[in-house]
Parts: sequence; structure tokens; C-alpha cells
Amino acid sequence: MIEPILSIHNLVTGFGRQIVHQDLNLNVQKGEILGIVGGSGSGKSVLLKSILGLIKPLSGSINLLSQPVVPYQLEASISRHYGVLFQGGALYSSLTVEENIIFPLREISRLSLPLCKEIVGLKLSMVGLPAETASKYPSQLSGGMIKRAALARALALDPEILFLDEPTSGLDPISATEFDELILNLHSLFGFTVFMISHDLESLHTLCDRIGVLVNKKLITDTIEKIIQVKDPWVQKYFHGQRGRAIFSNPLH
Amino acid sequence: MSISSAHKNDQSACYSIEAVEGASEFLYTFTGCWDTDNIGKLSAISFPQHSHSPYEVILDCSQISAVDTAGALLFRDLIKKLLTQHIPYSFVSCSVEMGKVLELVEDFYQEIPVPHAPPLGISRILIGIGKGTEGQLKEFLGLLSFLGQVMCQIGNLCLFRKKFKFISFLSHIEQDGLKALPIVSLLSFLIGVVLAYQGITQLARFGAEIFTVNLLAVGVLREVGILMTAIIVAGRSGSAFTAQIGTMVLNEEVAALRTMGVDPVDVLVLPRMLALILVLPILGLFADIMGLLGGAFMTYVFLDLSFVQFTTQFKSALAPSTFWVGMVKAPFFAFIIGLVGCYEGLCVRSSAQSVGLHTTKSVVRSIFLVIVIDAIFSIVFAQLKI
Repeated sequence: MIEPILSIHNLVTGFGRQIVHQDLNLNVQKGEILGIVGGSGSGKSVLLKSILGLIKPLSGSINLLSQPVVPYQLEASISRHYGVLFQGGALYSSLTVEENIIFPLREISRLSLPLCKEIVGLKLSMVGLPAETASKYPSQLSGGMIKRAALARALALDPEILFLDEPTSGLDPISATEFDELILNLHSLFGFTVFMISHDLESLHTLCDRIGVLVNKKLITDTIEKIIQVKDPWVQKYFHGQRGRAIFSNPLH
Repeated sequence: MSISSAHKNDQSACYSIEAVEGASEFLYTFTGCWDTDNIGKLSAISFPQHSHSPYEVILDCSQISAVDTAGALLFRDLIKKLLTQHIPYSFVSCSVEMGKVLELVEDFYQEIPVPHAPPLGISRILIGIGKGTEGQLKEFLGLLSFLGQVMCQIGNLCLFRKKFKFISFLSHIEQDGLKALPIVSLLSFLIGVVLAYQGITQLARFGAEIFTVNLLAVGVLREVGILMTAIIVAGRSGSAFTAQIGTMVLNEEVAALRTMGVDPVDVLVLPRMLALILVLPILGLFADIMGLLGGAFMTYVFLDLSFVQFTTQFKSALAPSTFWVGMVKAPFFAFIIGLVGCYEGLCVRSSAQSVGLHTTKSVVRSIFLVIVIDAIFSIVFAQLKI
């Protein structure tokens, strides 16, 4: 058995008296695309933040890239191997797109500036942005372009695992489909692992190898075909509602 | 992407190139990890000129353990250089994975256009001056048109055409008036102390220490009390106005107000400005009292002047208008601080950086304008012989 790239063991998180996750377990294998769904307030973002070490769990252990995650103490030597795409892009507003992508390269590696600039051009073209975007500021970009630029920044260091927080939210269906294809393309090129929080049934359907559902403070993970048969009222409503039926009732998938 | 990630965390993993000159060829042997962590400052793979010409370059990649995009870019640059110099080259035992990465880099390569170099020398300075002047002029016009807007809305308010946001007005009275009292009082007291101390030491040379009280009376009441208050309020409330309204602009709250047919000037600007116009004179009065108390304290300590003596001297120093000369400036200061603070807030555009920039501008500009207005008042009073 190969060691999983991300493993969570008996994770308990909460704020004050409110428990968000109770004994949550998860293993993510190298190269797979995992989608996380759950109702509002079910703790999707809390789970992501716990994995990234931005929140201190009450108990349990998280191993990312064979290293235990220590909250608030993020080592560049580990974080350089993963990329995060935040919901709003989180591009630094005082820097141009080019400087945004160079930032992690210059902070973490000792690469020379000309090479960094070449990497910027390369990553921008990978995410489908023209080279002219490089000199623009985030405030001059549309929502879809911000997501692409932020993805380019997340890819700057060739990550082994990519965390996506609602990558297609706020995008029109055409941009969302394009974004899904982009992730799928890059995944086949780089072979990285993807951990994705999403509510977009379409993109869950096209992208994910497995789906994790956050219900009752726990995570149920399985392939799409099996997840949609789970006997849970929320799961049933989610995947067999009007929107879900149109996408998941297709027996070919 | 790496060919073999097993080596990634290996400390000893490193890269090296070995170039061996043959009869009619160069043999490059690459070893180790060619990835972001390892290649470091290396910006290009150099190749020396062969003594014989023509010659061939052979790139032996059999001992490369990992390549990522950064490493692959170096190889791409090398190949490009060889191509432009028409030197034939060939790869030896390049793994499938490495081939893929090289192909990927070649497919997606795009050059970033170099931005236009800024003009040099004198023209650059001239352009800077021109742009700066244009910017200042535009902002002045913007402030002027905002003043017009505000006056219109105040007019509407006076004619009872609009409802006044009374609760917001009260809350700003508390925020900008009541809560500023401690700091305004403390600083004014200290200014009084400093002023009295300087007066005592300088006037003692002429044996005229008693006139320190006159200095205090005129200095604090006419100028320092109200000016200090205005500067503190500009730093405290003016900046807060800009930051609050600016963040609301970013959050599209101001746009939401407009879509509901509500003028942001009515809801956001007027309550703030009117509250400030009401509380600044009161704060000024407090500052005057505290400043005089500070002075009285110093004269008591250093000159042994009793409170009664202080008051007698104080009364003799006062003209009937002295207090009002200071106080009449307060509403004007308040108006300009509120106006600039709110205007800069509404000027915020689309980024967190912009909020910071406009907050700074708001404070600097309102303090500047407060002092300009103070100077104008001084000239007017001098002409009127008050």
C-alpha cells in the first residue's frame, strides 16, 4: 500500500462549545481528484483550513506529504509542495499579476529573476491567460481571470497537491466548464493531486474520482456512483434534487 | 513535475553538468535533480566554444533524477541557443517523463512583453510634474463638485425634503465627540504645560513672568486649543470616515445604496459631517479649559501663583473677543475634515491598497486645509483688527 499524500486521523475541530468535526477520517492517494461537498456550515472551509494549518484542531492528526501539520507553523519546505486557490483568488492587490506569481518563487526558491519571468509566462499560458495580463493589477481583471491568475500562482512551484476552494463559484457556466477542463488538462500534464471544495454538481461530475460528503460532522468518501446511493436525507436531496438528477441520472457515467 | 519524486526531499540531491570536449563534439553529462529547489541561482546553462568547427552537442540525460518546469526551462533556453547558432544537437537516453516536461514547456512557452521603458532625464521630470499637476487639479475639482453635492443635500434637508438619519448622527456624536474627549483633554493639558514652561523661562529674563498668563490666554484661546483639537480629530475621525466609507465602496455597499435610490451623501456623509460640526466646538471648548488648567498648574508650581492671582491676571489679558476668535473657527475646521474624509472614502476604487492610500491622503489633506483656513482667518482678523 502506498502512503497517502494526505491523511487525516480522528480529527476533532470546534469553536467554543460547538463541535464542527467529530472523529473525521480521510485518506487521499497521490494523483486523485477528490471533491468535498456539504451544506452551508457543515465545515468544509474549516476542514480545508485545518489541513493547511490555519486552524488548530481540538484533537486528531493530519499528515500532509508525509509530514504532520503543525498549526500556525507553516514550513516553507513543505508548503512549497502544495498550492492553494482561495475562493476569491486572494491575489495581492498591490502587486501585478506577474509579481503575484513571482512572489512565491522568489520567497521560497533562489531562482534567478529572468528564469522566474519565464516561469510566469509559462504558467500564464498554461492557465490560458495572454502574456499581456502579466503587467495588470488584480483590480483590472474580471472574476474568471482572477481565478486563472490565482491558479497560475498556485501552480508556480509545480505543486504535488492542489487545494481548490470553490473554484467555479461566481463564474458563468461557460467559464466554469472551461475552468474544469483546464484543471483536468493540468492534472493529466502534471499528475498532481487535487483536493477541491465545490458546490458545482457539473464540475464534481466531470472532475472528481471520489467525492467526500460532510454530514453529521463526519466525512463519507466514495466514488460518485456509490455516494449518490448513500441513505442520508441530505445526500439524497443534494444529488437527487432537480439539479442533481439532470447530471447524475445519466447511467452512462 | 518530477520524474522521480523520491529524491525530492533528499538533502544530497543536487545537480551538476559535465562538459567533455571530443574530436568533433561536446558531450554534456547532466546529473541529479533539475528542479526549483536545486538549480538555485543558475539562470542559463553555459556552453563554451569548441575549438573545431563544425561540431555537434550531445546531451546525456541518463543520470537526471528529476526535472520540473523550472529545470526544463533551462534546457529549453540551451536548445534555443544551439538552434540560433546552427549547432546540431542530440539527446541521449532522455526519459519519457523528461520528454513530456520538455514538450509541455515548449507548448506553453510565451514571452512576457517588456513594458515600455520610462523616458529618461529631463522629459521624465517634466512628465512627472505635468501628471502631478493634472492629478492635483482633478482632485481639487472633484472635491469642489463633492462640496456642491453636499451643499445641495444640506439644502434639501433644510427644506424638509429628505429624512435625516438621526440615529446615525447620534452614534457619530458618541464616536467622534464623546470618545475623543480623553485624548483631546490630555493633549491640551500637556500643550498648556509646555507653553507655560516656555513662557516662564523666556519671560523670566525680563522679570515679566507674570505675562506668561497673558501668553497662555491669547495662545490657547485664539490658536492652539482649537488647532490641536482639529488636528487630533482629523487624525482620529477623518481617517475613520475614509476607511469606513472606503471599505463600504469595496464591499459594493455604496452601490447597493444607490440602487435603492438612496444617495450615499444623505446616509453616509451628512450624519458624519453634521455630527463633527456639532462636536468639534465642544471638544475645542474642553481643549481650551484643559490647556489653561495645564498652564495654571505650571504657574502654580514654578511661579507660586495662586489660582485667584491667575484668574485676575487672566481676566486683564482677555479682550472680549479672544475666546470667540478661536471658537468661530471650529465649525469650519469640522466641515473641511468631514468633507475631505468622506470624499476620499468615496474615491476608493477596487483594492485594499486604495483604502490605505486614500486614508493617508484624507488625513494629510484635511490637516493641510485646516492650517490653510487658520491662516486665512488670521489674515481676516488682522484686517478687522480683532
